[in-house]
Amino acid sequence: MWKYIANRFLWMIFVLVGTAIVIFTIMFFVPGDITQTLLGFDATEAEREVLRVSLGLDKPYIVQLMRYLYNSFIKLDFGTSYVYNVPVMRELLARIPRTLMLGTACILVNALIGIPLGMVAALNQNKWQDTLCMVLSLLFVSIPQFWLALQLVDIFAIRLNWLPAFGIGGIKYYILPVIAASMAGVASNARQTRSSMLEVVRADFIVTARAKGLKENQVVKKHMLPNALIPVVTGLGVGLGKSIAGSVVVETIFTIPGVGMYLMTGINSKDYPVVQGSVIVLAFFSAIVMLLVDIIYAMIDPRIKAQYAGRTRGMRK
Amino acid sequence: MNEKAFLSINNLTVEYTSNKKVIHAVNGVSLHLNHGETLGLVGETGAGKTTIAKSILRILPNPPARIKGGEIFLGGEDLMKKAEKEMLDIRGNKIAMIFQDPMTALNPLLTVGEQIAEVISIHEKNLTKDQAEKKAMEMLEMVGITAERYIEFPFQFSGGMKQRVVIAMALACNPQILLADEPTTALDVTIQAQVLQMIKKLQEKNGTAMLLITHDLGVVAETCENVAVIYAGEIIESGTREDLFDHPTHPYTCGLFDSLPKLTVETKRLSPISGMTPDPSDLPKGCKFHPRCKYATETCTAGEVPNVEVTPGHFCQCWKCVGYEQEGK
Amino acid sequence: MRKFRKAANNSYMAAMNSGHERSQSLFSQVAGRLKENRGAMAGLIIIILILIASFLGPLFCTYGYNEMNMSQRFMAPCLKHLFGTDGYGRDIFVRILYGGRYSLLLGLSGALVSLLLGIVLGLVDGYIGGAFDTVFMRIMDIWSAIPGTLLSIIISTVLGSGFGNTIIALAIGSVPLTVRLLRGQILSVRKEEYLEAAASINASATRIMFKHILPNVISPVIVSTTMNVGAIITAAAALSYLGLGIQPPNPEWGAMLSAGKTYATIYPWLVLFPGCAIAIIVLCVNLFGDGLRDAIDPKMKN
Repeated sequence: MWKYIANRFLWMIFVLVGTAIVIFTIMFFVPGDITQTLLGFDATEAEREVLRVSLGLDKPYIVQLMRYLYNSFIKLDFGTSYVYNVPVMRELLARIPRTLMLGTACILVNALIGIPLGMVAALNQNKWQDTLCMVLSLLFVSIPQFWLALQLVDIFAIRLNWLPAFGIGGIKYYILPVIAASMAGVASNARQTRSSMLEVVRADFIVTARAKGLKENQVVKKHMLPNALIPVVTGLGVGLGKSIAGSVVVETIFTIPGVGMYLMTGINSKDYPVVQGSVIVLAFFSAIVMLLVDIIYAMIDPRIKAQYAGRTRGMRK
Repeated sequence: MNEKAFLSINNLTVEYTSNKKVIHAVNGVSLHLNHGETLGLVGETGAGKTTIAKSILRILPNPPARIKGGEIFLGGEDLMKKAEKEMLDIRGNKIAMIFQDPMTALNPLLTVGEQIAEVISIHEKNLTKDQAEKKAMEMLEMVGITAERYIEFPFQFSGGMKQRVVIAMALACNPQILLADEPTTALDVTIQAQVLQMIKKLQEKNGTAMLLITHDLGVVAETCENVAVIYAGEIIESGTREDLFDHPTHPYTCGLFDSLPKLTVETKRLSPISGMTPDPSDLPKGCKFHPRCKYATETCTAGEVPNVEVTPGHFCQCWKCVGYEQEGK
Repeated sequence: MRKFRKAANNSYMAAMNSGHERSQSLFSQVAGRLKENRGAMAGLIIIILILIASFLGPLFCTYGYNEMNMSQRFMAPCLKHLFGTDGYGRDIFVRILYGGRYSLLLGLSGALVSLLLGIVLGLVDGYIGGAFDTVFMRIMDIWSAIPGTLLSIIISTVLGSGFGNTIIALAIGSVPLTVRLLRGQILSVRKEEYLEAAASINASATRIMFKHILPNVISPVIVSTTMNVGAIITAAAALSYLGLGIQPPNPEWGAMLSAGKTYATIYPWLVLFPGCAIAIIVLCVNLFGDGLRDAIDPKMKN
């Protein structure tokens, strides 16, 4: 089991480094030069060249890449913001907790509301509970997150004045953002849970369980649920990736000073160190979640566990 | 004949509703199973065999399926009238079932040992967990699997071994009746023989009665004392093994035997039964086999076909047989 | 030997043709089931209506989509302006109609580009396999580790705004999914014997790929691509909202939302109509996608 975790952890590092390389490369080939932005239009070419050398932008791609990777991963220094002249890492560290709170709350809401909803729908297939859940899910999966956020702010913050529209502070500042960010995830989780439960409900081993004389709720608890949860857990992980991206928009709308908003600011002002650093941090969160999902997956499904723990005694399948 | 193990199905009718169509899966089936004996239920896929077995245990999927009528007596008590709680006591305990596809019959997330121990703990409540485990291991040994494999998962077993686990699970509580739904169809021919032999051995040891559902006449010949042939949800012929194999009477039964390729006879083509099994949502009127029968007459197209006792104990549901009962074809 | 080859060839052709027949009726089977699904058909019809409305509608409208009229700013919905006017006095109704073009075109072309890229990469990888496959899948893993929308945002930043650039930015995120789906199917199909038979009569590599592998693996890919259209339309709107992708004065719905948000409380119609438009089109696409998935794999229904 530990071998599996170590394996997946190393894998995560590899993916992060790969992501950094990809981002750096993409940013590297952006046309135009940061020196223009920093010095303005009336700077001479000579002045720009001086700045370039001082920023190390004249070195070949590989050298810059290596330097960047070394700085980022070994020295944990993401460079300095071009625009605000503040170390990116310091800013990020201050902002990470807020994004983390938003993200964690989203996962919890996704899991605690989405999964039971899907189960109820599946166990009452084609009855009114099922239709209601599915119609609502379809609706919320289709409504764009940012529009939902706008409407929530409009109704609850401005018209009713129940909740704050922006900023951070106590829990109440996070309520609307979490709702806006997680609705789509809850809906898609509910759909995913429903379809995987339906597959399990008709499975042969469920009939076997009933034929053994198990009470129906035992059948659901011991046989249906564990099997249905596997694809759902995977779905949660994938959904989180979408939430990370969604958080960028939500943070912008609710003016939550988290990593997502930092990223947008960097993009709008072409502040590349900020963009690169933020993307890597967001990718890091995404990767951690995938790692956790894989571990949970391995804990539940013995087939995966055996694959990596080397317990393949006997025949496979 | 032990009255307690006597299973008697009378006029069972089951239908499925799907997409506004009604599928008549079982139409007035009557069967009798005596203590310790094996009854073979032979028929093509879709003839209604599995439905009958699942009806006995009342584990039919309830929205589409509905038992429309009939009684199933187990030792004098009608199972159709029993409460769900009482049925829970019967399933896996007095009547057990073996399913067709071993690959999907086991829960992939639990060890095989746990799954056998589960059925033991449900029905023998006075046993501790350890005792149930021990008994499960004994069952494994009984079906020829080493007890150490208790902790292994289904994916670590081959098809034949998985089926043995299923059998161990079914026999764990020493049921009086075993419903075996095509237990060897999904297995290789060599494994088939092994598994059949093992089932027979255990059956004889414990005196279990068995309803063996199959489409394979060879399997029937080896294992069943009595045979019933089912077509389109009806029993069209029934009797002892000798009755059916030596004197097949119903045109369908004869067709079945004729379609078997024979090693001793030189033939260029196989002779299947012409036509196709009828659509269960749109069954023919009168005798359900008449569209494919080469002996069909006007009488066969309408009305209820009589069930004729050709020789004592040998029944045939065919107009042709009327008048034969004296001669004993 | 030649006679043997010819016989093998004949039976191969017979098998191919009968397979062809089978896949024809498979298509009509799927189409039949699809027709019965009212939700899916409703979704399809509405999409077609939106298509017609967005391309032909503006021709019949009294106002141009960029026709500014400062004396008629921020008018509420009325008979003259069905959806009201925005901050520049432009008629919102005709802007919504026109904006439909962007969503439909971006959604469809984005999904198609992604599909094509995914198919090519997936087929190549599935066919070559071996060490190439191992390396390639690692690259795919990194590709999919970056959340799709994030990737679209970054690429859009780099490439700049504009129609073509936006399509690329949108398509890139969903490529690994298609590749993985395809690869999974190909791996299981590779073991099938009919491929060995085809190879044994020297069918060329491309022929094998296109005539044998592709038809069999295409169904889950079709379903996932259709679902993808909805996600891409939303992502396109999100990009415009953030200031990337399609920019004002182009009446892309996301851009309209962004422009309208400042005054949204006082003049709610500024954001109500674009938002509903996006929601409706994505809803219809999802309805159709769901129906398609159920039609291809009807086991779920009962």
